[in-house]
Amino acid sequence: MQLTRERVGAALGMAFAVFCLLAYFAVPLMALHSSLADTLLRWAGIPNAGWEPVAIFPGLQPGSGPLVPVPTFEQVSEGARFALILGIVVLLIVARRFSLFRNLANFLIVLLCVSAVVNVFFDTFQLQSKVFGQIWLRQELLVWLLMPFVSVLLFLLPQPNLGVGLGWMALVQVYGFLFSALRFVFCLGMLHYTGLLFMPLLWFALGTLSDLLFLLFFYSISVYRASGKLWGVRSSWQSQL
Amino acid sequence: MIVLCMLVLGAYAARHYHLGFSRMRLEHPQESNELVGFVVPRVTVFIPMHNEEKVARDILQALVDCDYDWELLEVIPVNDRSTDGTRAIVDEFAARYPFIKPYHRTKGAGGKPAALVEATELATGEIYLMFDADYVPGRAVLKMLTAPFVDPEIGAVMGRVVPHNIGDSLLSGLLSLERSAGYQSVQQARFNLGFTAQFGGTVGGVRAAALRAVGGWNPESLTEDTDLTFALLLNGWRTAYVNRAECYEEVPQDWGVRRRQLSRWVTGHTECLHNYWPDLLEARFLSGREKVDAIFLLAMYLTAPVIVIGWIASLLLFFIPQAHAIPVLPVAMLIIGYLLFSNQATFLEIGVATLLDGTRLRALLIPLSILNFFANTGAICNALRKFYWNRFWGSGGDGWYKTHRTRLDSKGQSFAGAQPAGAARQSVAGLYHASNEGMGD
Repeated sequence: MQLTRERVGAALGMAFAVFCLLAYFAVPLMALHSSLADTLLRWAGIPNAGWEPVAIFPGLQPGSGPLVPVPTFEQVSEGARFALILGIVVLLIVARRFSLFRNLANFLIVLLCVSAVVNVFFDTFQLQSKVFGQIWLRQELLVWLLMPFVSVLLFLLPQPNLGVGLGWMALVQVYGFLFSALRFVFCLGMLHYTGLLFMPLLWFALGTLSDLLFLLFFYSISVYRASGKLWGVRSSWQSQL
Repeated sequence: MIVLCMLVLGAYAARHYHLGFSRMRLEHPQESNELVGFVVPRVTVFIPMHNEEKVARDILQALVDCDYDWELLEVIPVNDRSTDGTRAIVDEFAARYPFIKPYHRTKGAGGKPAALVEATELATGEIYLMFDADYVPGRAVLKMLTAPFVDPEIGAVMGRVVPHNIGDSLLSGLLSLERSAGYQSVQQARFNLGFTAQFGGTVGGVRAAALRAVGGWNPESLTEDTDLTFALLLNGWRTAYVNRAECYEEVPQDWGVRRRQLSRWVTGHTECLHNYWPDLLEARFLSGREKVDAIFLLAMYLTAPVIVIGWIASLLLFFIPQAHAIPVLPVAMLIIGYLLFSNQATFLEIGVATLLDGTRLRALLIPLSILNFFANTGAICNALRKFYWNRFWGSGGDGWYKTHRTRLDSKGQSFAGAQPAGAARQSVAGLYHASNEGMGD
């Protein structure tokens, strides 16, 4: 696992090559993402009137955003409002009972409360599903483009076996793409049934935080396996939880 | 605002990656352990104690069992106004072993630094080593910690802290990951790269002459260890790090205890930042990279409020429709890059430490570190708020807080305290045995 300058250079060069490849195929990738999301929307029974072009970045052909009906705050069902209050209560209980979760729960409570305040007092604020699709695609496209560099640093270089490292890189890239479509559809479903009530929370929890968490999850497994490869499977108190 | 946050955190992320990969390269490890046995100066070991009856017996027995020549060893348990059975335990050991010379403190200012100032007057060693009372040093630790002092530039030395209660709670498991990253990755990498290691005030030592040269302990500081590290650095002394000098500690199992511990560290650390940054920048014998590293180290807790500001700014952006229309690729790239790279950087250090230690099962806890990350961020922000409030209004801070220890095993049984010496010896021996199995020594 000893790193050499050559190994680091080759790895970063490969990351750059994958980055260029992904940038070149960015438009088909976004189209595939939308197609996947469309299939999932139909499976989930979430109505979608179609897809409209949305600008992602200058110089790049537009992607597409869904036309899922989004209710205003007045149109949101009583159940959704109750779910918001219930969500806050549950998070308050978590914050009170589990001290380690307290700050995360408090942050999520703030997101829900801010959302409630905005919905009640700033009813002109609207987020259409098309715009949501636009900001989601922008973020995720950048995640896919930067993922090769993150993967190289976290998954390829620390691995004692090059083939395994490359496998982890490919897995993370593919999973990131599929997981993004799944999260996107879930958010669209919530947008359709509950309006904007949960969107700030979901944008944070299923956006940034989920990207971070799934990377950490894969990273922990890869370190676990690499450690086993380097040291052998041992059963001593230091390796026990 | 977001761009400023990104720049600050991006710089810290770059530092974390640099240290993580530097450690992974395994290049130029400075290993002083080959000198063990050749350098045997007279050593004074301080053990600051305040109501330590649960743990006092363990550490005293462990020091008795150390392979250091008793003729050259002096152990000073600094019993700082204990109201429990600490005094009796210390006196019992002092009666049996002549090199244990207790100092019972009954008055004066509270806190470890103040107690150390008085106890240092009694010391006769060339090297002062320090262990917190709840620590259990291994047999060879004293020799390992004294070996680097053969280098006359070395003013202080720091060993590695290894938690022994990893499985007692989720928090202790997560803290063990944090400790691994801090010592195995960061401390070792910084030392290998020629930066001064951070003296932690326990499992470490200081040259008596160096301590005198910088004016002794700073009794005003909440983190006398960090204060000493930088006082030494500014006077031309370096601090060495000895990764193999492992000592076992009990990490907090309860978040309340951890929060107070963190709060003290944040206050003391930030105080040192304010005290030393002008001198660090002006120090002519420090290279530019050493200055940058020192400032980064002292300012590390300030990243927490920067993160919070970044989150709040991101939240505001979500509710501003015009912000959704910003299509500037480089800015967006920076934001996402920061989110991915900055957040992953510290976890890379944890992963590297886990790989080097071969503690594979603990690696599965890495995703849960996010909870520790959130919890720490809040606690640090709160501590900084108090620090700057007190500083602004000129009021006193929280003062010294002694970290609460339970010394209980995972079944809730007392680990060794309040048991006969024989049982204590057995427990300590058990730890040595476990360390040999687990750490591949």
